[in-house]
Amino acid sequence: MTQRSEPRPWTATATAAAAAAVAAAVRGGRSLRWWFRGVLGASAYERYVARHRVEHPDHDPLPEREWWRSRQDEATPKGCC
Amino acid sequence: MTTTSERLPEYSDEEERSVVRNSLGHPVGVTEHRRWTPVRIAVWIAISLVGALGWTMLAIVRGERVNTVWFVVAAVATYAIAYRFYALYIQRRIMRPDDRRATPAERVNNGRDFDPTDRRVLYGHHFAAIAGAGPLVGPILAAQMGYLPGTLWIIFGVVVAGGVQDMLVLFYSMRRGGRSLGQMARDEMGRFGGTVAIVVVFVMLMIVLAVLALVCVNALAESPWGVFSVGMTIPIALLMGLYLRFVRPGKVMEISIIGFVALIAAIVGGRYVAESSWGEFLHLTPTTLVVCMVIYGFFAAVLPVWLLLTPRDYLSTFMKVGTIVILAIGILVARPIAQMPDFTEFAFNTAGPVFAGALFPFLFITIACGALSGMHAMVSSGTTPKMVQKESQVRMIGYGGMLMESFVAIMALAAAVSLNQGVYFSMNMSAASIQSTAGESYSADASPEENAAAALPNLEVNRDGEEVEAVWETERDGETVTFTGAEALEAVAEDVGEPSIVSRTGGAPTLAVGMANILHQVFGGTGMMSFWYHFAIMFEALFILSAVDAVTRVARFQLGDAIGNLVPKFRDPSWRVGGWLTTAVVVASWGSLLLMGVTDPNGGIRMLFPLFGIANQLIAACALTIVTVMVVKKGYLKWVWIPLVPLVWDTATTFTASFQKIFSSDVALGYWALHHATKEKIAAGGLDATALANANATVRNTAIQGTLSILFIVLVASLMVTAIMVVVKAVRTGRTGEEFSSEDEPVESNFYAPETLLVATPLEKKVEAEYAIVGDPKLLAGGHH
Repeated sequence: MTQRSEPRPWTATATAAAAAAVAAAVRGGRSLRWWFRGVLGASAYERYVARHRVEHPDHDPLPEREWWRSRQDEATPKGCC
Repeated sequence: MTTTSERLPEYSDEEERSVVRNSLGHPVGVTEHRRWTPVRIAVWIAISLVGALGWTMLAIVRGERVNTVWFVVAAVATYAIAYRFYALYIQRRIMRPDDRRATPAERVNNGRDFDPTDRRVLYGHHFAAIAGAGPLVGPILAAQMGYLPGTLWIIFGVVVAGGVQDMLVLFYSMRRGGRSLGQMARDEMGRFGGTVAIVVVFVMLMIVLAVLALVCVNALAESPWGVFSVGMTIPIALLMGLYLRFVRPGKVMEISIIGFVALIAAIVGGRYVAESSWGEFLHLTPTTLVVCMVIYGFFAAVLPVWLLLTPRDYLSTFMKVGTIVILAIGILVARPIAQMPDFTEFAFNTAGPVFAGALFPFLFITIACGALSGMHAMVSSGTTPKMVQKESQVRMIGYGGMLMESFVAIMALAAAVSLNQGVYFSMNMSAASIQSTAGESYSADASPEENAAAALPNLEVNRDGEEVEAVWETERDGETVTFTGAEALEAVAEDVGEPSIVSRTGGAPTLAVGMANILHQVFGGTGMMSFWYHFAIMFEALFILSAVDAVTRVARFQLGDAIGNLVPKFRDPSWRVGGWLTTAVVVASWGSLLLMGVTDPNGGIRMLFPLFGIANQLIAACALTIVTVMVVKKGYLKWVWIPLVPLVWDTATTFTASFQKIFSSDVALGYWALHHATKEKIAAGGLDATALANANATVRNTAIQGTLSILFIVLVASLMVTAIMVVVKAVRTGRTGEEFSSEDEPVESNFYAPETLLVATPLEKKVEAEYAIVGDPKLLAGGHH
């Protein structure tokens, strides 16, 4: 056990708090981006690739451009009141 | 994907008892019995007290000046209690989700429509699909009855009716492979029931589209700024579509943000275009706009979806989320005071200028979306149920999604009732209504503002007899000025950058003025009012156009399928001519109703909106009827009151409203009464050319509206009779219970995902971590954070 515990200078505390706040904001921003991408369907290709690797490890997934094209042609609209 | 250590989490004995495992020993669910700790009890007591305080301020204190913040407080507290207690009660009694059963999304998991989707993403997806202009428009119109009827119905309606319908349809459709409402009706009630359900839905979709389009036309007519900024959404969407197709496929976020910025630029730029020499070309009459809408609707439905529909959906979704956030901030910061009383005279008589009819039953059909909306049954069956990961998530998505829509409706109501009464009624009286209300003070030479100001004192709104006067406080040259009468109405128009705000019926312009009135206090001051007004018009138009696109397309395929029974070639979706023909029929159906609405001498909204509300609520009646049959067949007779309470209420209101619209001898109310009275007027002679043309239009329109009312009620009544026969037969012969239900055979689940709304509980996180190691890689690859 140490006898002396030097008080942390306030600048260090403030820096740590600021860093934590920034980290939280970055995490929040990332989550928001993830959520929006999911709702809009922007992450669909990544999900397809991840799945394809598991299901058909023997051949490559469709390139991004072709995959989006094949998907766009069959998309169904949604909408309500 | 989150990185997980390969070490399996360790559970305490108690935790292990709460983990549901399948035959492989993999975790598939969590049944936590969360104990009532003192803290949790205290939290719920606090929520109840806050809710009680909100309701006390709204319904009991009811002072002259109620702050609309109490609307939000009462709503949120009530939603929380309803979600935690009533929705959970329903879940335990007549849903009984079983996480050992695989959902259709897990079973089929084809990466297309059957796609297990993260619950939070699916919540957003489902909400974006159910919400649109509906919850924004209804509450605005219902504000003519005062603030209390609308608030009560929006909040208690969603708790007992709307949320229940959405959640049960979603759950039962999920248990049936995500089948659509029409298919479920056929399974439960045979060919006749199924056919009636499909016809009902088709006919009603046409009236729903016509009225939504009418709201849009009324918001854009004679408004060059609005026409420009809303018109620009078409080239913006086209460019977005081309970009995603040819330039950078898949960069959805990037192009959506570019599109959103372009949209804002179109709103800002609209002012300069409207003021330039181009402005007069954009000064379109309602009839011209109808032609534009019809042409647009046709092409939107036959063009490939990636070109116009999908990019427009991206913009709509962005706007939907943004609008809720902005409105909530606006109301909480500006805290506007309600200018409407709790009840107006129009809650009790049929003299209301916005729509005719007393509180019962017309409140319940005017506010449809936001409290109970049959249209949601279309999304809750067919689309969303194919994406649910776990059965236990249905409460959050179905009930929770509807609560959010109800919240939007409450905020729209708050925006409407915080407007000055004179401004509200001047905007929502049709020209004909202003003329008849003004009586002798009406002058053909006076401006619309002067005539509206002259009509206002004759409106018997306030039960304490206080006269209605247009008052508008604003800034001119940096000083606060208060205008009254016709000048106030002109000042509003100037502030929002419109030629005039008188007789801008339909709800959208009123909401836009209400929103501008709130938001300018928070963001940007008086100078920003015109921006906020056109921002509001823009998103309402965007929602409506999205609905027009999507529903026209869906209806076109439905029609193709139906004709396909006779001429098989129509079933082939790649047959161009067939697609064009069916699209033309669909567009002509709603287009002719729309044309009838904009040319109606008695005001299109006033005449058609009740029909829209009745149609939407009758679809809800169909959905709830089908749900009731399924509840009985499953053997849950004891709890059949859960769907039956909203069904009986909905039937009572829609049937009473329809009977009044058909049989009332009051010309303000009954379509046929007005029909015959106008015929007599024509026969008596003495009408000048304009009056005669108007009278002939009235005779024709009321005949169509009256016939449609009869058709709706006959169709729905026949569906209900079929349902009663099915139920009676099932109960009498004892053919109820598990083995007589039309649910799919259970398939064992091998998937785990948390149930909790936002943040998973510690145990859920542990189980998620375990599943990430032992689970099915195919399912894990599909939907992970």
